[in-house]
Amino acid sequence: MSQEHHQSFLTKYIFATDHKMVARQFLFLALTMAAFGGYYAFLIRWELAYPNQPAPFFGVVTPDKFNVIITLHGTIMLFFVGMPLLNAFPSNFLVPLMIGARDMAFPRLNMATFWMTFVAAVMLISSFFVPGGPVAGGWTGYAPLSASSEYTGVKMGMVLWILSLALIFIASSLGGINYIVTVVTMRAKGMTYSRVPLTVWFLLAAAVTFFLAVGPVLAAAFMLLMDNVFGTGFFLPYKGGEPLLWQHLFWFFGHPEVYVLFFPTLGFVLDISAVFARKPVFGKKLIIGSTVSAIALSFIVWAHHMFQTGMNPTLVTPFAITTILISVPFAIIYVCMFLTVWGGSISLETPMLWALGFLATFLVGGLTGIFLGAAGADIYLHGTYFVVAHFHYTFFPSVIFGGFAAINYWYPKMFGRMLNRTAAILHFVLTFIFFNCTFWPLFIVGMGGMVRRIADPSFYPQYSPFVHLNIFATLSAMCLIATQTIFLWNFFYSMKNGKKAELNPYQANTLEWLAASPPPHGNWGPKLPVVTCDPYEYSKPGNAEDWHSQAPSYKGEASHG
Amino acid sequence: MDNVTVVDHVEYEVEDYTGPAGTTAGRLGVWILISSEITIFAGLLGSYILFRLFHPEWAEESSHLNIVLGTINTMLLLTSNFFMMKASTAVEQDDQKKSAKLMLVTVALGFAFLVVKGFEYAAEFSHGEFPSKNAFWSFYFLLTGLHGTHILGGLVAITILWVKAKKNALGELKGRVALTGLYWSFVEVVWIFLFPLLYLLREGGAK
Repeated sequence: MSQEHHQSFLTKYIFATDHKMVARQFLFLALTMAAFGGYYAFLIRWELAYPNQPAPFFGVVTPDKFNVIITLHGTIMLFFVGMPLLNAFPSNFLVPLMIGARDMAFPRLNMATFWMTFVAAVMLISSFFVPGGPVAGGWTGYAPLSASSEYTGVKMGMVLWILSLALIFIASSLGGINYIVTVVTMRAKGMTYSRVPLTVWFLLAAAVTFFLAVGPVLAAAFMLLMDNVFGTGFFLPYKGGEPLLWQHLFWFFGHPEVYVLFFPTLGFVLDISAVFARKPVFGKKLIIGSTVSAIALSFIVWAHHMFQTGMNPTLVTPFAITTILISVPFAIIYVCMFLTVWGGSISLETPMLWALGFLATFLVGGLTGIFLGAAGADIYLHGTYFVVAHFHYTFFPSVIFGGFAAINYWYPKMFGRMLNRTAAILHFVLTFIFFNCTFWPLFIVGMGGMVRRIADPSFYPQYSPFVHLNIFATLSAMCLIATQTIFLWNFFYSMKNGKKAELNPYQANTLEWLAASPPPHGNWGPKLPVVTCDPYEYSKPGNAEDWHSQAPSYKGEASHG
Repeated sequence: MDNVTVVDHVEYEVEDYTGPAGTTAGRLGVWILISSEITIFAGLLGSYILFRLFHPEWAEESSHLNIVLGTINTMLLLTSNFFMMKASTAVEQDDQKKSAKLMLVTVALGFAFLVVKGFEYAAEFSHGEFPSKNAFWSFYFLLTGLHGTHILGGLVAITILWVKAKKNALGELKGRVALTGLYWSFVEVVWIFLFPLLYLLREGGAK
């Protein structure tokens, strides 16, 4: 990288091909969309606690607006916060740095994936300004509500929603191809697969899962688009179609998709645990093997989302069995995570706090999943807030705890400065408390039989015992959202005013900590690092220090001349 | 891709490459793209086949399709694929002019496919067979339309390569000829599934 290159503002910040800039673009997109998604969450909770009272900055959340808001909350949080924050952002930033490459295999494709995602986000938000308003049929877009504007009066909004999702699916798929090719063909000398850090392994697992799963839902999106635009009836019974086909195609994608939003966090948590417990990851091969079997199983569990549809009981049993079965590989990974931390010399830095917070909270989400995998229990619970609590106990730990763990851990490498530690710890503690206070009551409310997807609980007298729990959950949710301002302040303030970060502030082994903070265009000095060992050689007997870099001979920028 | 990155890649492949032998980034990328595309068509064809099994009456609708034109199109696509393979071989032998001619034939045949398809669509529309007529026609137009879009994309890619090869200016893009050929074969294989399932399957369903 001896050449000097003068990049204009446009090529450096807007149409950037540098993987680190693309990563930042994805991060900022995710944070911006999280603001929308968070505000919608607030409106949902407001209506459930204070029905028919005007919400701040919005007005009364009428039932039709409530439907719009829950739909957009789900769509935004999963596809425009979860995927950019957990897949695109870390894959772009970390994959080349952790495997010792200078950039992605296809830098221009990388740029294209961001701008496709950006256009998709704009299309989704712009559906507020078209006649009929945005889509209101739930984030799962169940037919026939989604297939004909006769039911909802929403046509343009529906078309925009479908196109927006199709575009982000294609973008994420192309991004995934880029990450996979980069890992396969551009690893530094000595970086054998067994020496690739688990973060990269799990980002790779997510990319593979995504491109294998996304085809059928894209096919379904094309069909739904035709139903809306050309008046076909793929999903409309009165035109000879089959509404359940949408659910099958959607959940065939939908279940692997939840692992796409979960795998990266497993990688972050394992790597962070090893660094802050000063121990090698326990059972690395076992973890990778379990992940492969989990991916395989994730393609044959989808109908557990559909037990309520009146499907043939003969078909229910195999899907219930595979669903219970898939908890085995995840239980193995979970045990490996505990054993990684077990007996280590733990330092409770903020990334470690988020990692431990993930372990504690995701466990609840995982265990309640077993209730829902058992068809008998599921048929009672599926329509209730129990499911809402369950999937927030899975998604929130993986997307938010995992996302914050990654941001906190790699912030020094991204921006060259440290976050304010006090503010970061306060942010974690308050988020942890308020998250549990928001969603734990919903298990109780759901067990009690309160049905989800309804706007005004006061309309149903049988839900009156839950009024106080709902108000408690809403107040906690408001505190949870307010807590995030601490993070925003810390994030932006430290970018300019934080303490200058050392090259390797945590004494971690992986390659990214050898590059400058922030790494320059091209990442490395004239020579690429040469990898000589496993990434997890912490506290190895016989070593003078309790860590051992993967590429000890790397000279870095110093030899640049 | 700016020059700096290209230089890095060359340096990288020579010195530090540890991936499986003979797998270039582009080839791997196209293979993954194709496997991702397979799942899209698998989703559509799987849905179509399930519907078809329970709708024996679709045999009647299917008989309205023009088998002759369908067969001609199959031939056109198979032949164009042959010429694309030849073009890719010519590039490997450093004969860009020859490869340009072969790619021109490929594009002409692919374009002819779209023209024939256009005539078929026109005839079907004139008989009132629109996508909204019933689910068979919905599937027919979606499957052939999506396939046609892939043909169009392939034609654009091959045309770009043809323009470069004609001027003996493929340079860095040389490898793309074989990759585009790979994609072009995939598009042909999709048609090999569509043609019998849509045109030739004229027996009843499961019942």
